Amino acid sequence: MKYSRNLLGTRCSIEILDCDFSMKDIETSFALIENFEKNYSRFLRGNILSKLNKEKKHSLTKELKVLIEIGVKLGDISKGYFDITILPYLENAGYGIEQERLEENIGYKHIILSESEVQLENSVSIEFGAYGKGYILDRVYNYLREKYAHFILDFGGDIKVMGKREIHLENPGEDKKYYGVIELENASIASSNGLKRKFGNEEHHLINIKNGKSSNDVYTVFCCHSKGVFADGFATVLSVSPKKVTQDILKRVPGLEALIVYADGSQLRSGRFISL
Amino acid sequence: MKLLPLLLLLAVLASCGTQTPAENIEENETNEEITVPVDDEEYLDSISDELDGMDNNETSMNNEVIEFDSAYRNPAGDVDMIVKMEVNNGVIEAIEANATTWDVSDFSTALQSLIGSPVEEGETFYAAGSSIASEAFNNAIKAL
Repeated sequence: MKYSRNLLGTRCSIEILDCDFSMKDIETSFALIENFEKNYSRFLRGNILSKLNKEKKHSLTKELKVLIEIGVKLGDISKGYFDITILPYLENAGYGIEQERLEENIGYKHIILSESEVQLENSVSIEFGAYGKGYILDRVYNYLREKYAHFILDFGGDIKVMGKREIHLENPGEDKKYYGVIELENASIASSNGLKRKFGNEEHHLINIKNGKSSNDVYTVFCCHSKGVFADGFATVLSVSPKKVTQDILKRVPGLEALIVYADGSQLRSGRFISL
Repeated sequence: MKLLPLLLLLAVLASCGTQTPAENIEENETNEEITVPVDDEEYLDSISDELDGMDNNETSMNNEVIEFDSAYRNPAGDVDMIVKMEVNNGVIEAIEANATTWDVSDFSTALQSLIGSPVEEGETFYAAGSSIASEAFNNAIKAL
């Protein structure tokens, strides 16, 4: 049986395929997601992320430190095409604030991490929307795998499977059209495209940091990795990176496999996607 | 003022009417207290290790397939040529060209000479008798 709730701005589903399971484990899994959302959603006031962005400094828990380090690394490895300080662009979507004013408050290099504290210089703000869902997907997976051998987690299209499962790669622009089917075993898959979160005709949440506009060179991306946080994060990163940067990322990140379909119809495939 | 109790009663009745039955999969079906597991230290450490590994992994190349549009126009019309190549460590391991509007099999055969060459060599590849297709291919490779 599948249990679903609206969390993280999407539909989060947990399906345990073992014969016996405890409802308490399902509830604990949802509590994990709720707790993460409560602490790190950019849409909630007074939480850890909100305080950090307001006061421009915050004491570090191990979790907060790692979440920020992931964002910084994704920025480095994508040569700055991905940036977790992109919040002003996201909040400006549809408001028309001048590009120059927004640029002043962007740049992940202004995040200063010490052992015990994070500081945000130059008034930058951060958010974990690119990989937060993948992170909590892993946390729920790690909790449930201690107890069950077969289950599927689907948090709004970010999927992680314990056991084996065939996954259809859907063309986001055409109903019931697929790029193919891959088998997932104890691993994650995430996809990213601008079609499902549009602000207008062309504007969406995947923004080219170099010009502040929605990035439309990539049509859709599928990423597989043993960790949901990297499948999710790199799905976003590869959506906003040029081909040469993408090729470099696929060389450098162990275990990352991807299918990238570009707007001109060309494709880049690696790992298990090669045989599609 | 006399209407106030009546309005309050109507408000209460209206709110009762809008209540919908809870979806059984939405609600906490247990009466047990739920405790959120604490931070998963082992998992956080493994993320840090993998982030470090990304710095030291520049040479361990995954194989990749690149499929790109090399469409061009010849005197007979538009040719929707697509080139697919398998690349390993920047070296072409397999390559083929296909089109639905023109027979590009000779050009595809000529491309086989690129196997074992760095991708960049495709930028100056020339197939005798297929100059327009060669130019389209060169430009498409440069754009990668």
